[in-house]
Amino acid sequence: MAIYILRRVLLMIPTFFAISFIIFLIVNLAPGDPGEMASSQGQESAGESGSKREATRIFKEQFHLNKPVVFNFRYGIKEEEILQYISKISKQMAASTKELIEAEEILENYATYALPALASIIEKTDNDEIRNTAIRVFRDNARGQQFREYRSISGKEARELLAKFDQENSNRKQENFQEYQREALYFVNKEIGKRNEYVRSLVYEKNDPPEKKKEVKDKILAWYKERVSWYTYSFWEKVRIAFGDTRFAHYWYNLLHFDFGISHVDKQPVMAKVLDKLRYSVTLSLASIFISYLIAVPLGIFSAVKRNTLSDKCITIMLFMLYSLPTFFVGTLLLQFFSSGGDYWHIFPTGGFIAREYVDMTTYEQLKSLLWHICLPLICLTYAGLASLSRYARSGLLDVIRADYIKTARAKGLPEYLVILRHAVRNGMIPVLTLLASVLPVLIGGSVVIEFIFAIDGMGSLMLLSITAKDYNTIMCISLISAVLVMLGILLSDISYALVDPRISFK
Amino acid sequence: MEKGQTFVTISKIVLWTLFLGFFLFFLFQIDNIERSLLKIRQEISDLKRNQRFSNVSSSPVATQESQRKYLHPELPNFLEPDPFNYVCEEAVMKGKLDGTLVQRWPTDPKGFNFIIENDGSLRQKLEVFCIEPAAYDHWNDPEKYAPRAAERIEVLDDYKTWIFYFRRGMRWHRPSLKDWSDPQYRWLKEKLDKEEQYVTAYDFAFYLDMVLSPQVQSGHLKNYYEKVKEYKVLDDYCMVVHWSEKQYQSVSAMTQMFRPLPRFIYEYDKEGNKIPKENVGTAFNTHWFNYNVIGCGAYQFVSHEPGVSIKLTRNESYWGPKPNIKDLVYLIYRDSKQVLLKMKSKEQDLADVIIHEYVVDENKNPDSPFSKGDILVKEIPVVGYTYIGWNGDHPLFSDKRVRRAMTHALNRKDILKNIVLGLGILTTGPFYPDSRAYNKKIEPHPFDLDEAARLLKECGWEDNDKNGILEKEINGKKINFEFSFLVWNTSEQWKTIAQIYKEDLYKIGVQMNIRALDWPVFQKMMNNKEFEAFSGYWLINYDADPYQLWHSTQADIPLGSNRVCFRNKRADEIIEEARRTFEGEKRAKLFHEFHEIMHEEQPYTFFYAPTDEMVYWKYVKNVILRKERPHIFSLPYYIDK
Repeated sequence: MAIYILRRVLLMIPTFFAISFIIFLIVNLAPGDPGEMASSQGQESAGESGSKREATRIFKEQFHLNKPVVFNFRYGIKEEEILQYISKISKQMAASTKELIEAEEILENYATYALPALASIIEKTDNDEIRNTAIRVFRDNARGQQFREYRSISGKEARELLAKFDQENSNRKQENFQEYQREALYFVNKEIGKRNEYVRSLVYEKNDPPEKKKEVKDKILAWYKERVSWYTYSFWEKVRIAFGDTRFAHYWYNLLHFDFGISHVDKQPVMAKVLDKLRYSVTLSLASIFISYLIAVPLGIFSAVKRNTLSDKCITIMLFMLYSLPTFFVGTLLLQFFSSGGDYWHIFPTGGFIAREYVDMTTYEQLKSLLWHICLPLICLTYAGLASLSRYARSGLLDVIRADYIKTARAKGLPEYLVILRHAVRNGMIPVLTLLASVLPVLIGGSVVIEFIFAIDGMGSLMLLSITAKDYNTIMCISLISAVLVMLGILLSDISYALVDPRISFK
Repeated sequence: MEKGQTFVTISKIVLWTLFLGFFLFFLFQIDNIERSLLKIRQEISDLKRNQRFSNVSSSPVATQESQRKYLHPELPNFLEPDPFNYVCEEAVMKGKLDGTLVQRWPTDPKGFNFIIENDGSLRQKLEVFCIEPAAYDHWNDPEKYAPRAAERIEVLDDYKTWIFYFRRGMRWHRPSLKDWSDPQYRWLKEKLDKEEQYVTAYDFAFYLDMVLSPQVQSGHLKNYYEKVKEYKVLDDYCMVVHWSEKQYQSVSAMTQMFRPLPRFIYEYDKEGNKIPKENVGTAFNTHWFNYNVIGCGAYQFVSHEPGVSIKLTRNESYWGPKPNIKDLVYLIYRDSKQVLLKMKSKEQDLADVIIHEYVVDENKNPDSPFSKGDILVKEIPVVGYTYIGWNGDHPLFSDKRVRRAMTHALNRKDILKNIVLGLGILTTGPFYPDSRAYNKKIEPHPFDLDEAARLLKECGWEDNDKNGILEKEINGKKINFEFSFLVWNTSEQWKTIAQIYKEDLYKIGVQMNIRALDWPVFQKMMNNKEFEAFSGYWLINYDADPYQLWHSTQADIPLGSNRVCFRNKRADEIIEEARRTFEGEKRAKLFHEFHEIMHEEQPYTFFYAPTDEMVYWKYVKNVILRKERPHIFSLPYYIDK
């Protein structure tokens, strides 16, 4: 048994990798870019859409969105390709607005990989316009990235700086590693900031004299030649870039450190956000699962005992009618009829998870307020699941009710209710119990519709918001957690079969 | 049954009852104890706050006020006190200087750092109350500015040099961290306990540092400050800002947008280590304090429960007159259909927008608080306009006569009356109808299909093959007058309007196809200029700068806002001149001419300035609206329950 479990757990690792890869591909290749959410559609504010480029660039750098998804072959960009984009931007080649925007974006994404080509364009070209544009793009692309964390420091330049810092402070590394890391990070950022400032200062205006322009050009080329080793790569470095400097590789590198990244939307750690929302969804789903078992199992038993009678049929029809009612419809009706904002019985609050003044309440009052608030959403969550559960219970019981040992029990002279409850139900409920394990992912999934209608800020609404905002890290995090839970659930249900039913073993 | 057994059963029952009773009593006692503890906590926090205020008057800086020297005493103060006093006399008389106003916040804010986040709710519901700008526009006159954090502004050098004298003794609020007992915030606690933090000129300089830093994601602010040449802090309460150009934009950039940023927090990391100067910009984007607000304004940020509510409370040590309402609460929920429920259940006191159909329905129901007059409805004129944009670079619409014909074919008056239900004001130009820039002499092009047909014929559009659709030969090719009109798919109103427009256009032989699109796709098509006509809605300012929307340079840069490719030499001249003109009368004159050009050229078919509807319970008194956004500005309101 232990070996079996171990084997299953080990198998989960490659499965997890494959799942994460597929989800990552789907999420990243879906059309559209992450960025600002469209809060009010169609409405735009004048005076705000100006120089967003800079902000977008920082945003992209921060989340590696300027990198290719799976493979990175940018170390070998052809000069002609860059020249083509540059001539489009500088209007030396006819291009539509769409192509212009694309060209700017592609050059921006190439970042430092475009520098060798750009330098050679600046050196060779006779066309003033092309040179101007190339210098501008060079200046933007040569800007080094500053880092958020010690761990995320990467790139040739940064590593060189880090080595320098290590050398200078080699004796201090053991003392206080955290402080050491922080100082190293600050050192790297500072040095990169300094040289960014220098690169940024290499500007000329359109009307400047040719001498000034030449001076800037020479300075740029000199700067590049001094650092040419940063931007040319050996074979092994190319291999490393091809597989390592991609969105997927960066994501997995963080994942191995149990870091799910930070959300694009509010820049908070994703995991903390998910855990925060989890309490709402878990409370709701646990309660609803508990209640639906409490109602559905006795109903199923009743139906099985009285099978094919009028009452069995009535229950079945009732449950399936409930099953077919859409939750958004029932939710709205419930609010309209039973909430204090509706037109009829002012019993329940209009939504939310708990009263907003809950901080000033005693535990007992908090509990009361909580129950009061989740009553209506619970009804919505529960009623639809009743049908299938009670069917499981009914068929499970019917399977055993004809068994020999039930006949024996009856023959023994036991009263009917004891026969059913003590002998039949115990065995008949095994399939229903094992169903519980598969419920695991549902626990954290939450319900988009119900959370929306009742204004509960749980996992469902988090997922919905993340998808509309294309918040890759949050989507990935939630999907991966569900994937793990599904795998665990399957394993648990297999194990529980073996535990409950002695006929099954994994030897 | 035997006697003994009965006795046992009875005693069992009694015992159980006793046990249960004790248990319940115990629970009840615990509840009572907890309640008293909560009360004590409340009282302690009140006491602490009062202690903080008790030494306000003895603050050392307040006494230095009279000895202030100005660099240019001969210059007039750029700021004028606002004649409007927001403390309502009626409220004072009735003693109603308390209460809570509950409103709605549509989605959780992404963070509270107003430099990084470009969020309308944040700006209009929190920032205006919490963070004191250098100056604020007058309640009833958006062209004049009243002193707030700055007492005096001297403008010299032809509007290129601005000298600020800031108010002394303005404290930063005490930040409300969720968990002050967390050991990692001990440094901040100790710092605040040791000495009060005052707002100084350095905090304003720090704001400019951050906005202009290339590492900071401050896209929406950066272009306002692009022309700032340099700035210098002269002393703790005085600073000077030099602009490289005379530019009208600098007025709003130097007054209501100019806000202090707490240096004593943003220059430190979570553990209290000072961040080196070069790293502040990078750290700023993901700073640990971005989910908190600390300001110096009339209200103080208390808490944000994600998905539940945001709470502000009155700042009792505020330098100015204190507002009437004590607590402002915003409930966070996304479903706009819930507004009605929350209003009727009194969970919410005031809603800034409500779907018009709901109001109509409620008024039909005699039992509803709407028809009983308990919930009041008020119209809010929104400073903005809706329009139809024509792609001026497209062969169909490059001729201004064609565009004018299109305007003649849109039955604006009837649509406004029957589809928009009167919630809007017809406009003829790119300014707000109530503003000084709007040329009121211009009559709107009337709905006139014959005139439209005539104009099209004049341009050579004729129906020769009698298929009902006009055609014309352009560059040797016969082209039918057929185009697609983009509307965004969540707007039922625009879809209906488009249907009516389509039918009217068909009568004069123009085939219009309606394309309803998702907003992101819609935006992308506009940016790529892959459209013939689209529906749009601009939110503008009272004193709009037409540069972004109408200058010809903005038509040629990628992602520019002049998507309709409007290019007019005289219009460019006016825009540039208006940017250098500061006198209201002169500006108005320039804009009137600009308005005439727009009316003649019709790059947009200007439609209407919409009106929103707000609803509030009648116990919210003195609900008056501000002219400029934010229209709902609750300082004068008070609660009389």
